[in-house]
Amino acid sequence: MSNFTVSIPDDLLTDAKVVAAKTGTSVNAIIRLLLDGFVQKQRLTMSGNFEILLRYSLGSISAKTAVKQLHLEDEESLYRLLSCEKLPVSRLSSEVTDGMQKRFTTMCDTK
Amino acid sequence: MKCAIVIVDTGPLKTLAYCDSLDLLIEPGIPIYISDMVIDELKNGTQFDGNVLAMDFIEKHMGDEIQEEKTGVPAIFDQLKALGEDPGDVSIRRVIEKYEEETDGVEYALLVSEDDKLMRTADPTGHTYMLTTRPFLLSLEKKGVIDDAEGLMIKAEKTAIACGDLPGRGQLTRRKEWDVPPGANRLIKPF
Repeated sequence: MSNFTVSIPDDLLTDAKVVAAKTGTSVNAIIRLLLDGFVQKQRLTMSGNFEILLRYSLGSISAKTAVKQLHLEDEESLYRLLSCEKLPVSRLSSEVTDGMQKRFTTMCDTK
Repeated sequence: MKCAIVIVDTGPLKTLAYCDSLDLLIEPGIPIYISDMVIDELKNGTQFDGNVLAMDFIEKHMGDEIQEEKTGVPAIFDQLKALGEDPGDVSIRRVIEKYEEETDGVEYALLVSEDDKLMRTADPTGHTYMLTTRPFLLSLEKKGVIDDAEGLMIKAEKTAIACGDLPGRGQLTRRKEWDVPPGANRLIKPF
């Protein structure tokens, strides 16, 4: 069995530790269980549409692109599909976020 | 170089209100313009604590650090809704068009938005670009103004959910003020 490091927000880790303590298990076991379930499910049912949703949820593609690729009418439909698949709402990709942050920092420095 | 923050969405104001950090908006020391549509939405959504806090903040700083950006959209709100148009989207397009015309290579206009929804509405280029709440806070974190930008985002989300202003993690988007039934208005007493 391999070990790997994962970054988790402090609040989420605290909540996870509470859940683990209540259920008499460990955060490590919860992550392993959820990851195993996720991979098994995707191996069996991964469709083209789900892949688009997953890529949007992970921030690889924009909402606009996902709506277009899924032939949806609007973003609200996209959010409903996400909810059905129990995927979290997307955030902007880290590249886009970094770009915005750098441009804003530069702008404030040169004002 | 002149520059400004132009707020065209209630989201950032509400997010900062829910993490008790509205003062961070004036921290960069650059002028802030808030569209009349945003102010109108905040005033019409007093059932949400975030709206009330944001309006208090705006009224406190109006005329000094904050100026109102007139789009004229609130006056034609009903007509736009009847036509199936989103008044918020229309006001954003108007602001972008105005700044594209007026900047003339001199002034930056920043549009602060809550998420990537604005990307579908308009695609600003040149002197106007999008900035969402997270990179705004990350920029302040990098400058040492705040300790934990991500922590503030999480705090805002949890407070908004507790106040009934967000349906919960991973659910649908924040509700529009005009879609919330009057019964949710806590100012209306049942007895």
